[in-house]
Amino acid sequence: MSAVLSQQAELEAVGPHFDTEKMMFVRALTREAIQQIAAAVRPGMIEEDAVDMAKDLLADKGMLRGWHDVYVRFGRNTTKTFGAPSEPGVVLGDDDIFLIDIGPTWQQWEGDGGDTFTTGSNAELARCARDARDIFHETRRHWLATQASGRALYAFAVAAAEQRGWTLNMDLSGHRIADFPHAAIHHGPLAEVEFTPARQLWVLEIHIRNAAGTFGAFYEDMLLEDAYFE
Amino acid sequence: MSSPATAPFAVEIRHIEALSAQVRRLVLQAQPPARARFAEGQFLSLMLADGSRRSYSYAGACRDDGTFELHVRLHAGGRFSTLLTQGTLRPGSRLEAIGPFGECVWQPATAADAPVLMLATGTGLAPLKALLEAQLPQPGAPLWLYWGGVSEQDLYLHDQLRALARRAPRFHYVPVLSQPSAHWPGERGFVQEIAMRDHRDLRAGTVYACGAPVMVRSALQQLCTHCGLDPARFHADPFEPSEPAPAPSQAAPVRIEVRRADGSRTALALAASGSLMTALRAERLLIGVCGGQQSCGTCRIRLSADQFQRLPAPARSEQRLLRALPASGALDRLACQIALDAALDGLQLTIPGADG
Repeated sequence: MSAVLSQQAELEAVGPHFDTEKMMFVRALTREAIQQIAAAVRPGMIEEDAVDMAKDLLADKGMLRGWHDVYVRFGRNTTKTFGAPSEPGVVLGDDDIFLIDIGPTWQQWEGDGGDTFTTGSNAELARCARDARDIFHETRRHWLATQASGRALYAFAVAAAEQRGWTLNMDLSGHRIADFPHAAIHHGPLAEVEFTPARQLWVLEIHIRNAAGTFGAFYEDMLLEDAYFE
Repeated sequence: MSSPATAPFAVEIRHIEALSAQVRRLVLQAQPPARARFAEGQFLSLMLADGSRRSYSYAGACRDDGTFELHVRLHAGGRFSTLLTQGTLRPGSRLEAIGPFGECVWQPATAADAPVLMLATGTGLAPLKALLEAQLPQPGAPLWLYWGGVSEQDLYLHDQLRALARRAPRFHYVPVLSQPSAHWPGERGFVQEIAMRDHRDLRAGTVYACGAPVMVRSALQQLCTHCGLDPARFHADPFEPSEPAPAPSQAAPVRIEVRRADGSRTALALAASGSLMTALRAERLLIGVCGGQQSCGTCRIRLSADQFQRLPAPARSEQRLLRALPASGALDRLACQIALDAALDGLQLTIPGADG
């Protein structure tokens, strides 16, 4: 076995509870939760209150336990990278942008997802949110069409972001997902793997920022075929 | 390795720069320049006017022009620190030096793809930085640097190392903090613990460890015991500071008795530092996935009623997660929310199984 294939087998291992149907079920719950959180966010809300609301909502769905914290970021905090502290007390405006990034578990299976939303009619903010999704799908389709490695996928995503006038944040560059906890298997970024990542085992993260560093957008979901996004 | 030259030689301070509030970078010039020849990973001793010596590792690759770099940690009231901070030693000042010394130098890899791990705490980074500067321009095995400190300000070359990791595909930089701010996005705990988690098979690996002796001893023991590392391939330069600063590891240990789900018991003597979660994780008693953000619940512990009363009450956020965890009970806590300090001495706790 070549070194790359050996590495792939090691990095794409799963735990004893891995179940493809359950993984897809948790993915659906996660996407649903993101939409429910977004629907409950209102202009005038303070970011910290939105995070608290999101945690209550996830708790009600039996999904509060997560492999990472719950992030709802408003306005200029949408430029912050994973784990970075938000500027406190940011209030969502009437013509603003916000992102959601959650990594909940349901029973023994991990979900992970993110999306970005706008509150008004600012065309540039709307374009940023839309482009994060578009770059996600463009990169995902590149994976389907070329069987590119994780490293090549993120080189592609960097170029796709630049073409649209954004900068891709490489600190958020994909990772494994599995039965909880995937971190016991591999916690490194997708952008550093030299093989073609397998379906359903990785999430692709796209976090873009404007040149002035005043706002950004995020989209994240499992690496899957087109039919799962219709 | 050749024997170090024992005759002192002159050095002149060319440049002093603050890398952080606690660390100074000194650039010195040896006279004659040939006396500055050394193998990366070695150190030299500077001789002070009062006859005492201070030893520092070369912090960069060996150069032909006789200049070299040192990283000096300042200690309150320390002799060399005072000479630097009061300006007695400044650019143009001359000292005598002796060296080089040390055997923690580069060793050929066992195989082209065998991992090389570098573990450092504090200014123990300096000799590893020298090794990196000498090795990274050449093709070779993947190099992993785990650099540890207490909090963010200890990582005085963090940005430079991150940039280096982006430029050099075979170099991986993993900063690890034992008591970071709540918003630290990186690894939490101790370098040997994180390295052990990342590299479970080190039978073909090579490890260089420089810094606090407690880290070096623990790394040798844990990596050889749990990861199959050949002790002959563990190269270390434990740094015994001549002007010691108080360190958590030097405080009286905190005794904790842990009962596992299978009923077995372990008596621990832990350094009063960080959270109870990071200490239990270092002992491989739990995994602590989210790093202390009250998200994953993998650091749940169970206490008796009297032991539970010893701890400060849990915050709403901790209570909310505990309620969400299957099988969680009224006397459960998250170890990530409990500071490991002297007040915990004698604590008895149980680590329940997933269903317990």
